[in-house]
Amino acid sequence: MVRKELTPPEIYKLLPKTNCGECGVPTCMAFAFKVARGKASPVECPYLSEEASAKLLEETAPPIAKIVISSRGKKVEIGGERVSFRHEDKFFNETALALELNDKMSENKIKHLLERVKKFKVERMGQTLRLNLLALKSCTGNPEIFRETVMKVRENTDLPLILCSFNPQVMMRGLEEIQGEKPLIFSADKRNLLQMSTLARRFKCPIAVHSEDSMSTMIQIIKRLKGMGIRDIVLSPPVRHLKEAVSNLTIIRRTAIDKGFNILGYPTITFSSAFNGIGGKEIWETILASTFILRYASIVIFKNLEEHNVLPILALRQAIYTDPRAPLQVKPGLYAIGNPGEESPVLLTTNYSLTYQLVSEDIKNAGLNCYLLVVNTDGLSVVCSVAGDKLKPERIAETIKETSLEEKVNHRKLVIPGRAARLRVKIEDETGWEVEIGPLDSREIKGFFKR
Amino acid sequence: MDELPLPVEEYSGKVAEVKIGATRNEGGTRDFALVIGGDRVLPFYFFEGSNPNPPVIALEVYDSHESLPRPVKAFYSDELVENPVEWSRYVVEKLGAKMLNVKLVSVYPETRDEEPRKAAELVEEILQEVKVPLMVSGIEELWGPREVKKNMETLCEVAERTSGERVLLNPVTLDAYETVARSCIEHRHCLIAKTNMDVSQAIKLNGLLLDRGLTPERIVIDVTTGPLGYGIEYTYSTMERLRLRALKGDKSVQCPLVMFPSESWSAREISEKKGIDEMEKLGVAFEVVTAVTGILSGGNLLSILHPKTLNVVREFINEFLGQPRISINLKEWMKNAEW
Ligand code: B12
Ligand code: SF4
Repeated sequence: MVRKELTPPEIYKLLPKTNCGECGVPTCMAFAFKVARGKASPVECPYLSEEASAKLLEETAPPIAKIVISSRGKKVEIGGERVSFRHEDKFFNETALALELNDKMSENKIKHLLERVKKFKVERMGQTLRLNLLALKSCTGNPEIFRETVMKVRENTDLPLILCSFNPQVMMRGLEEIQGEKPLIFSADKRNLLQMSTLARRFKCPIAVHSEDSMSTMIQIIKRLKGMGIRDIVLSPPVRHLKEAVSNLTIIRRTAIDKGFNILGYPTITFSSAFNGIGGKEIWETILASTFILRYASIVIFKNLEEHNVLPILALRQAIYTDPRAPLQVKPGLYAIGNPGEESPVLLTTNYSLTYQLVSEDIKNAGLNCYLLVVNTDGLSVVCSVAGDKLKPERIAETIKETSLEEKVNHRKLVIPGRAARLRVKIEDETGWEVEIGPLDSREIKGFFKR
Repeated sequence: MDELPLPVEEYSGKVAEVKIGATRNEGGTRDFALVIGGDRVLPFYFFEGSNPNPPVIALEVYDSHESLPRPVKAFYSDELVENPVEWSRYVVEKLGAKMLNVKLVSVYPETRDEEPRKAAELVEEILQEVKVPLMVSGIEELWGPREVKKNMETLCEVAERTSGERVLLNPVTLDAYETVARSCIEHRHCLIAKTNMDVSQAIKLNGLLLDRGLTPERIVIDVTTGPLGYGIEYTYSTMERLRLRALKGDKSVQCPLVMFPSESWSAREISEKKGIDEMEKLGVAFEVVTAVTGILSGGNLLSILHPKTLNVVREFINEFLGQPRISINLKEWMKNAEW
């Protein structure tokens, strides 16, 4: 049972039909298709009547609301999801990872951690993977100390914040310190609901809803907030143990999307650092974070910057949030690696980001100056494109032409990956180049060119 | 108050139960058998129902240790990995492994190119020394006809020499399924049907195997494992799609799913680490995350390489079975200033 969604013709009816192109696509119909797929927002058409705009916004809104958490310089979008399974469509806004800090930490400790967060980035498959948020919690329960800590944090970073306290006085002090930003308030619960919601309205911030032990209490709180006109809500459902966390996170996502129950149509926040129990804690933070990411969490909070704990989480998030129909790709073309000249060798590979990343790293490590000819295989690796007939000799010939490779080198010798060996003759016929078969694994490029 | 409409689906289909290992009563020599599959709902959808059998973990041992990652070798010691029979005994008696995946990598044509007969003899020996159910793997990287043929010969040789033990033979592919399927039926084993990350290929191979007289109770599906960072998203989605199809009633794919977290050790990030400790930490973390992903996408059987991964993944599974050991408390968390 899927929520009824507007079709492109239905959306088109509400548009001005002038095909003026100001929305970035040439026709109103094209725009209608983009809106229907969630790739554009109705507000991008400047000529839409207010009435039509309101109707469209209401009816094309994703079943999981999109929420923005921002500082003065940066913003993080969460939610905005339309499906429960990534084979149905892509997942849009990747899980935001938040590092946990608290107001008992010394200024030095905070500075040191923020320094590490700043440096913390992983280049993978053409993307830079980073942490997105900071979660600052009030352990002291003292409003003044919290305010000072917020100030100290803000002096050292421009990452958007999650302010964590169940005490409205504490929360107010924190919010005042960074007025004008949109931090996430964590959290309203059944006790502090009135005061916290007042703060959310006054400071125009998104607010999280926490219920320790019952989904129906959480639903009650959400309704009260909606009644007050608050729309930017994030859910913190009961997660007393893994079993409950997996159940409730799944229920929220699938109820909102598959049952059209819009009261639960909000992103979720989870805590991989908040557990007790089994020893060997570090790996458990990684396990909890992975489980939450796989079960739709929009925010995961953790307190760990060790590579072996964080890298797997970043890699998993990147994988789950790639478009299932389009692998990560690099632009086909000619890439100079090192400082190649006329005599330098020419190597061939495909435009799958992972393949390009590994091959170019290996060439660098081999200390080789060369040209890398990257052929369009629709983002398939060498092995898959050879097996699937997507590494086309004609395309290789075209790429050689388009990149004017023949003017750049004074030889006509192309080294192809070992896994593409069976294309040798065809490539030679198409390109007129002599083909030499390289090693199977690009790691062996170093040894290959030594001999 | 609006009633919370739980996203419960009524599924008409059910995954078959595959039993691995035959006990003495059943014509084999195992102390016990393991049952995988039988799923009626998606993994850990407790609001929808529960599945009868938790995921099973098989620990890997190799008949030739050249390609083992350094941290795994270091964990076991050189003497142990040089003696696969002793190694198997250690894994069962000291580490409490309930199932082994014996990998006959010595038969790969590009490396040692050993005779299938020799490899199969080793399996016989292991069967005499340890009494847990076995999975036996031939050639998993089937690059060309040489590999396909050698794999088929190896699996058939193993099937014959272990007749009646209900070994799980791995892998059977579209390139050469007939002979192994026949041998599997004749000698009462089960097999892993492996295709590449593509729902329609899995359906096709399964259909062919069912046509040849294998029952779903003897087939485990492998959609090919892309490990963390190296294609895990394809594996994850293919497994989810297959499982949903099975639950929705497609009889051709109602078989348990196997996944290979051990593949994680081929990640560049791991082998590039200098220190063996660092390598182990990162490798185990990659393997654990791949296993968690496999379990949450429907994996019923996991093949794991590092014993430390085995322990952690076992604990992860246990969190969903009996009394949970991990508790999450946000009120306490709020006060906890430890870092
Ligand atoms: C993920 C994956 C997919 C993904 C695609 C991922 C992608 N973007 O490419 C999907 C699911 C879409 C896919 C599809 C297919 N796949 Co596929 N896939 C894989 C998997 C698991 C990993 C591939 C991968 O990413 N490798 C990593 C990259 C980096 O490898 P690479 O590009 O080859 O690069 C290495 C070397 O070639 C070399 N190299 C690269 N460039 C250069 C350059 C030079 C100069 C040199 C010297 C070396 C060199 O070094 C690199 C490593 O360092 C493998 C199984 C496995 N474990 O390998 C199967 C696999 C490659 N796929 C296979 C097949 C058959 C297919 C399909 C044809 C199946 C089908 N019928 O649908 C399709 C093809 C595409 C199509 N028609 O749509 C087979 C190939 C079998 C064979 N005998 O050749 C494999 C081996 C699976 C199997 N065991 O059956 N696949
Ligand atoms: S901006 Fe509005 S009117 Fe102009 S083409 Fe786009 S949808 Fe049509």
